[in-house]
Amino acid sequence: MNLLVRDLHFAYGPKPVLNGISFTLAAGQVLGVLGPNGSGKSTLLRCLTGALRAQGTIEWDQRPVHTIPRLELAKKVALVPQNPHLPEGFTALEVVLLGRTPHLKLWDSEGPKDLAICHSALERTSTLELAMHRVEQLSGGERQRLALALALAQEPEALLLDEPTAHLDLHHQLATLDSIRTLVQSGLAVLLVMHDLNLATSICDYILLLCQGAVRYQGPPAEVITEAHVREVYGAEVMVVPHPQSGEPVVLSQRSGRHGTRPPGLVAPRRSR
Amino acid sequence: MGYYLRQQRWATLLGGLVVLGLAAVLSTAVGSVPIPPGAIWRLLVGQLFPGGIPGDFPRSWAPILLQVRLPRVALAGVVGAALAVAGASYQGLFRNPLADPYLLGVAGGASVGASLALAFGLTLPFGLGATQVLAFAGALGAALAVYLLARVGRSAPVVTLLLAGVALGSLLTAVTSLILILSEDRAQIILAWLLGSFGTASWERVGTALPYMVPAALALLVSARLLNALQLGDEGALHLGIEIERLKFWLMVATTLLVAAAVSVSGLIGFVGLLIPHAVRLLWGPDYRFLLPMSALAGAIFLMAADTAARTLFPQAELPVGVVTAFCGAPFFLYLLRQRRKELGA
Ligand SMILES: Nc1ncnc2c1ncn2[C@@H]1O[C@H](COP(=O)(O)OP(=O)(O)OP(=O)(O)O)[C@@H](O)[C@H]1O
Ligand SMILES: [Mg+2]
Repeated sequence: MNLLVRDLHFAYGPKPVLNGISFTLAAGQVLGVLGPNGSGKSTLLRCLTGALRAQGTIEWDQRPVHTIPRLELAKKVALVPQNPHLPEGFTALEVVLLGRTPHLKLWDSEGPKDLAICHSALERTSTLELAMHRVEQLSGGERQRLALALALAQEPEALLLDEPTAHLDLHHQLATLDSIRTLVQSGLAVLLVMHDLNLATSICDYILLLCQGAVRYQGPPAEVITEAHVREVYGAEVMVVPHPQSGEPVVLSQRSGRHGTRPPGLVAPRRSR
Repeated sequence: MGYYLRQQRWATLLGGLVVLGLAAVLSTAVGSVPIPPGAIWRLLVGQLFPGGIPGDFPRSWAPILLQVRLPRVALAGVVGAALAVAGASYQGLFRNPLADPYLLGVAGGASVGASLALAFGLTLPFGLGATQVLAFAGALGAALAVYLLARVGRSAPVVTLLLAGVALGSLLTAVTSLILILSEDRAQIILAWLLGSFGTASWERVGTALPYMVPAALALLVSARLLNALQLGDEGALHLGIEIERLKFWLMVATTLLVAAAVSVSGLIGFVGLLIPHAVRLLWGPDYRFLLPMSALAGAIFLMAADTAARTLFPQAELPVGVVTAFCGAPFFLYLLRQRRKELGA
């Protein structure tokens, strides 16, 4: 699925949050949306699905988002929210089966095909062994993977992910990125909101760096993630070095008392300079 | 895996149906004039096919069975099922475990309607029961008022709905109390209605409630999967393609109709709608496709049993069935809550 956004504006009441955002997302592409807390990333995602009504142009495959019936949109676009609300008492499998909702008629119940799709969604997010566990018995990271499985069960053509790796351990962070890569190769369009700049540069084809509701910098990771840009947008002193294997930019925090970016108590005691 | 569960659920529902049948026979059998189960079915067959199976029964048994016992048991079952399904539906719709069928001011509206009719001894043409009609109208009117008061733009936020329901409910309760005090000689009758009773059950009552209840309950059953999806939150459900405001509105209409029909034929019977869905959920999980039908069965069984207790416990006077449900319901509910606290390790 292709997405075109032009001159998007949105305000919660009198408070403007998005001020003229434009970009495109094509099938088979991973677009990273980065920016400090409160810069409007989650708001942007909710505008894209039509959950919030924004000013400007939002077109999925050349059709304005508000002219697409909800059901039709849900068959093609899935969103994993920053804080997914998973209902207590339901088992993980039952939750993932809910992802089939847009594909089922009112009278239908899930058939073998739906079960197979959910099975593979659980597998992709390595939550298969949790299938019969109840949601409230899952850990934070397990819940986050389950929320991704729920979105995958929708079999979307575009996936909007709001910090899908925030609660994951290192292994599952990398595994999640791997499964996203696989999906993208099969033609999915992915929009990824992330705070971990290094994970973002490792997977994104293109990056939007937001600041106060506007795109401050955009381009391939190597052009956007630079020491100057990070300093300007995040107000943080960092070093950006090329990754020894891929050459992608890697962001390192500055390690010395000189810049005063860390309280002295947190500095590791034994460290070679 | 899914299929195994599905079969298990059908088996459980079937089991519930069998228990319901047994409960119905037992409630019909006991009473001031006991009628043994063997006689019940002979009398029934005899009624359906004149000159069927012969039996040597007292002459009074047939009218007691057909005009008093059976309609009363049927009405208790129907009302119990309706209240339990309505409670489950509201709990899911508002994602609030404390939601009960009388949430949207329905109880208050029905009370005002019924007590007005009873206080002034109103009668309606065409042999319609004034109490029943006014209670029904009051219930629907109150729910509509709550909805309109809570509406902001095209949607009605849950918290606003609940608060408006509570506020209007207490206003209407105050009005009912006023009517109650001002109508000294009829206060007893009004109070009996308010506490709920099947003492005046008849086939006509069952017949007037069912045309509202059956379509409403069917609509809820069909929407059960969407109720599940609604548990993901408004935005989660929306991202699954559900037009949430429309769905919620129609679920509210169907549920309110179910409650209004139940209240108009039985008065206010508490705890069934709150307790039964929770008990079912605790025992078998929250999937509404199972929760709704099972709550219907359990609600019917519970209220039949409660009504049987209400009319047989004390031979000299009948208890209001609402007193019995609260008496058994409240402690059981507290017990379940304690269990749940233990489960959560609190
Ligand atoms: N429902 C709301 N009503 C009013 N203001 C809101 C609402 N949601 C978010 N905001 C405000 O809008 C701005 C953007 O919020 P948003 O959630 O989009 O930020 P974000 O970029 O996702 O931040 P984070 O990195 O912390 O997730 C913030 O200033 C926030 O305070
Ligand atoms: Mg956010």
